[in-house]
Amino acid sequence: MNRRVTVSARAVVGLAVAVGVALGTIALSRIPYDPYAAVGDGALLRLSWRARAPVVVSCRPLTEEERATIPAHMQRPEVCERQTVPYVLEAWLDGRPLLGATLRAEGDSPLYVFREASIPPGPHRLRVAFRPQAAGPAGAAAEGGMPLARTLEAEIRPAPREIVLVRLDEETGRLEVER
Amino acid sequence: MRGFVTWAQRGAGAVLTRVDAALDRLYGSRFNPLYQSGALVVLCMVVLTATGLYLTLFYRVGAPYDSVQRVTEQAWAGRWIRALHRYASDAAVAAAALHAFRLFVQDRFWGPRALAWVSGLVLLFAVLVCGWTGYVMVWDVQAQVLAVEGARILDALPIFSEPIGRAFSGERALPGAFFFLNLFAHIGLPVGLGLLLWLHVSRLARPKLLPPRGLAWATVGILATVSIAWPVGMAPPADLLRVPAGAPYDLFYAFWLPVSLRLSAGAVWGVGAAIALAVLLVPALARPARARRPPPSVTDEERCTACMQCHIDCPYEAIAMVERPGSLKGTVARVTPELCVSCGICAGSCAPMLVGPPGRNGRQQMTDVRARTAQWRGAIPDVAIVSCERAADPGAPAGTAVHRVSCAGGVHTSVVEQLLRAGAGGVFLVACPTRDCREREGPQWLSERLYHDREAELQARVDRRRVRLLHLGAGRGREARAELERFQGEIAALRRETEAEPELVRLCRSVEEEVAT
Repeated sequence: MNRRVTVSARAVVGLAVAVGVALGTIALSRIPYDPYAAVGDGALLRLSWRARAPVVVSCRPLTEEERATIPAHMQRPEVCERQTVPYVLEAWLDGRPLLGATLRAEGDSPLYVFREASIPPGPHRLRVAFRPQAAGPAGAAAEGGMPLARTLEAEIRPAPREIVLVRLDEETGRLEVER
Repeated sequence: MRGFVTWAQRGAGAVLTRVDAALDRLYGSRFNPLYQSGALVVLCMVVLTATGLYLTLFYRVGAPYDSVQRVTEQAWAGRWIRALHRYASDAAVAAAALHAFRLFVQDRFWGPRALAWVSGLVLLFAVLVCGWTGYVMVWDVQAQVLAVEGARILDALPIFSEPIGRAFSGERALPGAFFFLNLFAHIGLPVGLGLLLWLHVSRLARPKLLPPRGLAWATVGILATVSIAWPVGMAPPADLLRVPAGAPYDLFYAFWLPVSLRLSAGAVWGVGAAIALAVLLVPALARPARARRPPPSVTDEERCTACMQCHIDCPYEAIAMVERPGSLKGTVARVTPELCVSCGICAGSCAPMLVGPPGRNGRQQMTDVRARTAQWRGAIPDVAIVSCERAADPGAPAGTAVHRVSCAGGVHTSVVEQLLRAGAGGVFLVACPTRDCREREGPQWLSERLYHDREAELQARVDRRRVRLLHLGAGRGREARAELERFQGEIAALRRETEAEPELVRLCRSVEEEVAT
């Protein structure tokens, strides 16, 4: 009789432990968490677009030393260097600078812009400028013509935790706020 | 490094021993889930496959959130099956982490076991990646954070023609192709997991991939019950133009988020690579110095009878039957040193005592035990204790002599007989629980050699009433002591019984024994 009582008590404890472990596992699988708690009730400005940065080609004639090292049949009249134009990205919120960066494309790949900045919710005046850093070295020519600077001036009114997305319309070539 | 590892193993081992003992008492060693941590992972994978197949029927890559929501609204099946899928995946990670921890504490990760260690860690990583794709499938706020953060980390690698993070910038709606690829990865990865699992157990003979039936059904039953009682809800849907709000997150698959969100992508790779390197190199950095590593077994090929028993019994497939060298035909057993963990189980499996690690084969065990029994002289013990150094320690009460061995599975049955011949009233063997032997199959083979005539068996002439085998894990010394005292009582009763026998019966018995010998 005693033995039976012991066994059933052990079974109850065993079951309780098993269920406890299962419930613990469930609890760990649904922990409340706010990964962006730091944002609080703020909003976010996101600048994201892709633009093909013009390539500046600068050419010069071969020097005598270079001519001496290259076989005659491989010599070209001049050597050319291709460089993508670096761009300056700037943003102002209510006239105050918010973002500033110089971006350069890798090789021949397009220029990818992706920047985020916290902003307070409510009405704001946003200005974004995206312009080539310089016209390029003297004598250089940009393939497809020199790039245009792009600017955006807009009134925004983000709600708390809203993301204001500024993108580049690839058809019109204009910066615009995604609404 | 080894010193630190030994220190850590000792500390963690003490805790593990207590927990093992407590669960042993609750569930019995056969159903102790801690002994089955690896098999439980495989069981969870089976549950995941079955539930995943059902969920796939309803998943739509064109409307991921809505389709998961529809499944969740199926009160009779979808709701709890989705929850079971989730909880089984959590249990898989927990069991896998426990399995790795256990093997680390038991020092089972270096030498020939390094392949299992490394492949196991890769398996765990693959399970985490598979879980990551599973969470992204739902496309709720947790999915959004996991996807965006994962893309940010991946974009640090200079391998993508276009940053994949742009896909989540909100410029465009996320294409169905993304969810198709994600679904493909979620289904394809388990196939890779199967291959990795094969590699993981490739050096084991007779790997036990699933827990005992009772434990398996109990595990599935409890998971199913909590899935019905506490189904998984839906978090708010992902919105790429909103900062994700707080939501319930799964610690098992999103544990890295709080750290990675505070680091640059490069730093995440740096920290991740450092952790991965550290755990993968554990077998190389934390193994004992060469001089302290136990040497692999060797066979006496000249006298090997080719019975194949050591080849059959070896838990690591380290003994192969090869052509007999020289002009004689037939095969002999040969140990592959790179695969041998020096468990010594082969020493117990060879009737003519021709195989085993140097210093531990059957012949050397006999030499050792003869030397010990020679010292008994005037104080012959009632009971000789032969116990595994990792099993329960019954102590050494009055009237006993203790003989500790590295694995009870390697004890040659002739040693048991020799102890009785030397005058011990009985032999009390203590081995680890069958599912928790460091050398995998030692206690099982010992039990079969003692009681079920497995090759290298204890001879029939030995009175089995004088031999007791106990399977008890470390931490259960009290129970082992109680069992020992019971056995001592039985031996004392036997002694009284023998002394009371008429002279003629005793004479007949001794003649019978002589004939049998």
